[in-house]
Amino acid sequence: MSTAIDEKTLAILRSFPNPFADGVCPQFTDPTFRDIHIQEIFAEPREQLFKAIDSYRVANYTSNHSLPLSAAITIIGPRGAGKTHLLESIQHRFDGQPQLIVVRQNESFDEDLSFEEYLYQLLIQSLLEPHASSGVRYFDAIATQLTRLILLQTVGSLSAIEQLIATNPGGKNWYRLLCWGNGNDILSRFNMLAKDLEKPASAEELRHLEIRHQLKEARLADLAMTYLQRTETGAESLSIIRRELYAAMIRATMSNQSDAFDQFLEADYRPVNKRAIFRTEVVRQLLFALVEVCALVQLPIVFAFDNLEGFLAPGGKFLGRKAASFLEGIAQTIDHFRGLLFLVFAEEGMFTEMRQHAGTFARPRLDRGVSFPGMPPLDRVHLSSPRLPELKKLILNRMCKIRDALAASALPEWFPFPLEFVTETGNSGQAIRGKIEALRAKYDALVFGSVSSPAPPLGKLDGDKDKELALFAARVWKLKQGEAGRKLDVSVLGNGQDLAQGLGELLKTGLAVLNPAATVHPFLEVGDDPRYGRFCLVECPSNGTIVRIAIGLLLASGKGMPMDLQSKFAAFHDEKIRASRLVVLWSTNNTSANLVDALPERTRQVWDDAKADIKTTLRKVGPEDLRLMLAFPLWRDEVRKENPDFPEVAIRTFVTDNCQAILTLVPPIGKQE
Amino acid sequence: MQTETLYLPKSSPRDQTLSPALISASSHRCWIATESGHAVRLSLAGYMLHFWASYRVCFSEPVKDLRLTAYPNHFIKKQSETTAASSKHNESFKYVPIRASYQHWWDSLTHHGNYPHEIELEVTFPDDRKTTVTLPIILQMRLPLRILLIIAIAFFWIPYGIARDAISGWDVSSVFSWKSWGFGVLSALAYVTWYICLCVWSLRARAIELHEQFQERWSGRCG
Repeated sequence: MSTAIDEKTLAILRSFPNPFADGVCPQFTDPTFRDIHIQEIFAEPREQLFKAIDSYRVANYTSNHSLPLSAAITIIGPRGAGKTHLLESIQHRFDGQPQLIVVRQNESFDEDLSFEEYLYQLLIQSLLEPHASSGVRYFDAIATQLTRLILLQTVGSLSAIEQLIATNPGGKNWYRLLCWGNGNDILSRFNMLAKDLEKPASAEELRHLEIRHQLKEARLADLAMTYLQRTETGAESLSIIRRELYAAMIRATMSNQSDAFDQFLEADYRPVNKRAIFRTEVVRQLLFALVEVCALVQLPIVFAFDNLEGFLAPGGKFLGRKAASFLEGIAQTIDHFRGLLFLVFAEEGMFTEMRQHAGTFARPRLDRGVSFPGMPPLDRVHLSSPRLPELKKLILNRMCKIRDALAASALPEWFPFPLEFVTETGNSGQAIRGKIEALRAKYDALVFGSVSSPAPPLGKLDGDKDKELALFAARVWKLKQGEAGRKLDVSVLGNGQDLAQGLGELLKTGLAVLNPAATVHPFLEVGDDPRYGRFCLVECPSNGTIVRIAIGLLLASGKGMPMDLQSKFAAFHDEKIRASRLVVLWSTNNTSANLVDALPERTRQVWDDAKADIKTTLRKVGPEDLRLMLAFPLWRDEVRKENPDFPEVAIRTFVTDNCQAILTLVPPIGKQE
Repeated sequence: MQTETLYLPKSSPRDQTLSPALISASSHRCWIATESGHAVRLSLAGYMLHFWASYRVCFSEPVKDLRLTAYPNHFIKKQSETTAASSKHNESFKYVPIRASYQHWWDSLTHHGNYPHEIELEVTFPDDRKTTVTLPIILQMRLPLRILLIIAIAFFWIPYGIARDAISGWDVSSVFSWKSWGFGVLSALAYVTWYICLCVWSLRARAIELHEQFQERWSGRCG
C-alpha cells in the first residue's frame, strides 16, 4: 500500500526541515532529547539496565558490606545501534529515580595514572556539575541531606538543659529563663525542629529554620560542626576525610559556601604525627567516602563509558595497551570497591578486540555481571535492531509536529512513506542509525524530490554499491586469512582464546541464518586453567526441550593434551554450561577414520575414563578450518571499521558462503546429523 | 627457647563501618514530671523542684530498670524502691517516684532559698547495657509560701528590732517613735531585697556552672 501525497500536503511538508535528519546521537547532552526519545525503542535493555542500577540502591547502610559487589555490564551493538542514545535515555530517567551516571567529558585517559584516581576525578566532576535533566548539582543535594541527618543527630544528642543553653538567650530572656523556668517552650521548639529534620528538605528550607523555630542557623551549624568533631574522632585517613567532607557539606548547606567542596578537595588528609601516606591510599579512601555518602542517600553510582573509539582507538588505530589497562582498571576496581556499577558501551568489533587484550585477571571480573534474585547475572546486553512496530513509533514521533500542522489524525502512522518501504526497512537487520538514514533519504526523495536515493534495502547484495561491498569484503577476507595463517604458524595453542572466540562468533553469525531458533553463547570459560576450558554453547530447541551443545577445541598436544580433553568433559557438570551434548574439535592432521583410536595413549585413557558415549562427538579440524576461525572476527571488525554501515545480513550471507566447512562441523547447525 | 602460640586479643573486624557522626542517636528521653504527669519547669539552672511535693524521674521505654544512684538525701526521699511504668501522649516510660521535703519543719525556716543539686539515674536497658543520666535540679519552696514566709520574717523583724532597742536602752519612747518604726520597715525591706538577690545569685551561679559544662562538652565553639 502506497501513500499518495497531494500538492497541498507536500507544500506543508516542505515548510518543515527533514525530521529524520539527525541519525547520530551527539556526544554531549542534547536539550531536545525528550522530544526525540521513543520509550518503546530499546525498552527491554533499558529496563534491564535500570533494574541493575536500582540494585545498587541500598535501604540500610551500616558498613561497606551493605553495598552490593561492584560489577560491569557491557552493552554491545554494532556501530549506529543506538548505544549513545540508550545511555542518554538512562541519564534522562523518566521515572525520576535519582542516580549518578558518571560519564567522561573528554577523551583523556592516561593508562599510567591510577584507575581509581581517574574514577575519583570523574566522580568529583560529575558531583559538581549540574545534572543533565534536573539541573541540580548532586553535591549540593547530597550535602543538604547529610547536613540534615547530622543536625538531627546533633539535636538528639543535646540534653534538655543543653537545648536551653544552646539557644543562647541574652539579657532579659536569660533572667526570665533563669528565674521563672519557662524552658519547656524552648524544648518543644527543639522537638518540632527534630520532627522537621526527619523529613527531607531543601537547603533553602534548612536555612529557614531560624524563622520557623526561632533558632539561629549559625548556632545550629556550629553545634553540628562540634558534634561532628566530637563523634568522628578517628585519627586514620578515612576519619579525617569524613570529617572534612561532612564539614564541607555543612558549610555548603548552612552557610551557603559555594567553594566548600573545593576546600575539602584541598584539605590535608594525612593523619597527624603519622607516616607519610601514598596518594593512592588517600584516593582509595576519598573514593570510598564519596561512595558512602551516595549510598546513604540511596544514590547509585554508575560509571558509563561510551564512545570507546575516542580514547582506545583514536584515529582508527586500536591501542591494545590502553584497552588492556582500561579493562584491568575496571577489574581492579571491581575487586577493591563495593557499590560501583560500570556500563561499557562497546561496538561489537571493538569489544572483541578489547577482550583479546584483557588478561585472565580482568575477564572473569568483567563477566561476573550484576546479580538479581531469581535471575541469572546480567553481564552483557545486546542491542538488536528495532523492528517494524518500533520503527512506526519512530516515524510517528518524528512526524509529530508536521502531523499537527497537517491537522490530519487519520493519516497512517507510517505517513508519508509507502507501507512497503517501511515494512522492508523495519524487518531488515540494519542498525537503527541505518534505518533512520534510509528514512531520511526516502523522505528527501518523497518530499523534496531529491536525487539522492534512499539507503539500499539491507541483506540484498545486489546493485552496484553492493557489488562494491562484496568485492571489498572478499579483499579483506583474503588479507585477514593471510594474517590468521601467520599467527597460527607461530603457535596454535597461543591463539587458543582467539580461536575459541572466533569459532563462537562464526557459529553465532552462521546460525542466525541456518537455525534462527537456536541461541549461541559464543564464549564461555570453565575451570581454573586459563589455557583450556573454553567453549561455545549452542542451545537448540528440539521436541519441546532445549538441547545444550557445548563445542570446544582440543588444541593442546603432548603432556597438555589429556588435561585439555579432561577440561572439555567439565562442560557436562559446569553450572554455567550444563551441556547435554559435547562436540570436541581436535586440531590434527590425522586422516584415520576412527579419530578416537587415533588419540595418544594417555588422552585416550581420559576419553575412556570419561565414558564418552553418544553424547560426545570427536571431530577433526584442519589448519584451514582454524584459519577461518581466527580470520572471521578480524575480517568482520575490519569491514565494519572501513564501512560502518556494512549490513549485518551481508555478514551472515558471507559466513554461510565462505565458512561452510566450520558450520558443518557441528551437527545441529550443519544439519548433517 | 620454647615457642608459644601468638595470643590475639578479641577485637571487632576491621570493617569500614558507618561514621559515628551518622549513627542514629538514642531516641530515649529523660525528664522529671509532677505526680500528675506534667513536666516540671526547666530553668537555665536546672529542673525546679518544690519542697513538700512528689515527682517522677521518668525515662522513656524500652528500659529494663531505673535506679537513683545519687541525690541530695537530706531533701529528697525515694517514695518506692521499685520502678513503675506509665504512658502519656502515646509515650510509655518508666519512672522512679521521689518526694522533696525537709527532714524537720524547722528546716523550712532556715532552708527557704534555692538549693542546686543533681540527681543521678542509672538506667539498665533490656540488653543489660547501663548508662547514667545526670539531671540538674533546683530545690526551692513554692513561691506563695516563700513570699508569706519572707513577709512574716520581715514583719517579725520590725517589732523585734524596736523591742530590742527599747529593752537595751531602757527607753519605752522608742516603741512609739515613728523613726524606730520607719527604720524597722527599712530593715525589713533590706532583708527582702537581700533575700531576693541571694536567690537570684545562687541561681545565676548554678546557671554559669552549667553553661561552662556545656561549653566544655561542645568544645568551646559555641557560646
